[in-house]
Amino acid sequence: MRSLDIGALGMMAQSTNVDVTSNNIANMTTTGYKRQRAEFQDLLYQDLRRAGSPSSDTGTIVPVGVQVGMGVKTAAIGRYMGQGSATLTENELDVALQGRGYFQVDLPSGETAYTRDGTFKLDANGQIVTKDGYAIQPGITVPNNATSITINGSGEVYAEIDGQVAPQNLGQIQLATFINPAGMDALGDNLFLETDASGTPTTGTAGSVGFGKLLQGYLESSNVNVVQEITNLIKAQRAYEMNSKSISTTDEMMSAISNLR
Amino acid sequence: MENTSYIALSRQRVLRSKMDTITQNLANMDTNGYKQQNMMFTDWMAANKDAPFRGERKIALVQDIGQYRDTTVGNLERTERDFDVALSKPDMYFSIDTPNGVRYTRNGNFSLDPGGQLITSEGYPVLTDAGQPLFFGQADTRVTIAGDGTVSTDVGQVGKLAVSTFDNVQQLKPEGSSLYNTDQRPQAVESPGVVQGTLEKSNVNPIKAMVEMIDVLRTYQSVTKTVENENQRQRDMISKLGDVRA
Repeated sequence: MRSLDIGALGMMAQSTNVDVTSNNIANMTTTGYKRQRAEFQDLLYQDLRRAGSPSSDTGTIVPVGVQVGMGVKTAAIGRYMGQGSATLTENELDVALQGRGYFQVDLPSGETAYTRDGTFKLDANGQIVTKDGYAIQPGITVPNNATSITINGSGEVYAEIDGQVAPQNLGQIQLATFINPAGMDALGDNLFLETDASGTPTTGTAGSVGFGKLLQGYLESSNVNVVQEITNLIKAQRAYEMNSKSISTTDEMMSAISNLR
Repeated sequence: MENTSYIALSRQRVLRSKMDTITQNLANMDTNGYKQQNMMFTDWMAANKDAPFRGERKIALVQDIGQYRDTTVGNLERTERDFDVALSKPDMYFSIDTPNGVRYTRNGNFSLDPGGQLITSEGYPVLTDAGQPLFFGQADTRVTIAGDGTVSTDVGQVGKLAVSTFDNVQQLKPEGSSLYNTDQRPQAVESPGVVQGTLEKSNVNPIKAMVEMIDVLRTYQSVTKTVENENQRQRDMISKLGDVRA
């Protein structure tokens, strides 16, 4: 019977749903994490009685056919790009991004990765790097004798230097935007790579048209809504159980037949 | 003499396809825009010329004559995503440009491709009322989709999503991937009630599905019992009548 396979596909879909939801809950406190969601679609259909086929010699036709669907498939695991709330850290190298855009990061492989995690640090040479020690693009080096760093809304980095009256401009953090950020390839470590689906990045300064603003001393929290995720988890579990129920019911129907004497 | 078995068999056959349909509904409980399907059964009169009595000259078998879709609107779930759109009224569909021609869907889980084109999760372009795909530029922020399907950005109006209805929505043929195909001419809808940032979930009623499932199982078992009893009756008859002592 088809319902055995359909029920199994339904269970697989719901287990994907649980996987995605668990990953969201696990990343509840990950800086800059965007929640994900599994989207499903129905699979192809089989015609048992084709609509529009003649039902008699006089030309009457079958108005509505009988089509049995073949189950369900996972169409996409979409990423929801909504803004996460800004959390105060008071760390001068923590930068939250409000609005569209990504920080650009140089990977050791030479590729450019993109992140919304603005937890920056200084390396031994005074260069601004990510938590993993990858330099941000364009590279900004803070002099040894700087007493404090200011990053303004448009990404300009200033350093107060002993003996200098005016703050020294060290450079400007550039942002990249994508037409379809949900199509980026997640690399882990809060990093993303450009793909064919995301399109090529457009770089620009923070605060200009189409780009978000920067907020120093804050970090962007994940946009995971725990109440929603737990509700999803409950729904997915019940749906899983109902699909397994349809398998056991089909099994009972089949056993009723095999016990015939 | 075999009629009871044949009638039982025809009943069992349609019960199995009903079970397939219920399972399909349950499996698609979380499919955006999915519409619950129901089977329709009817009797099929078969001639039985050999019957000795007039009343037995026709026997009623069961057949699955067709199917109807419950086209009520599914739950509308807020997603806060700009390109998620739901249709808050029943029997209306978005137009999608697939390689096989225009198809219709209620699954408004759209996104952009690298060229800025509005596409479905399968990658097919979503069509406007002018029959054209919809494009966004890199600087198009704050996309709003109004209740009548008009899409605007900071720059101004970009286009209007095609939302159409049909004379007979039951005749739309599902093709999988949330798409429907039909020969009917689409009719534009004046006020389609498009809701941005929302997805239409399936309208599958799990309680109904579970109850139907129990019903199908019990009916199936009782029909099986009937077949068993009939078998027993025939066996008894053969042994009693055949047991002719000279």
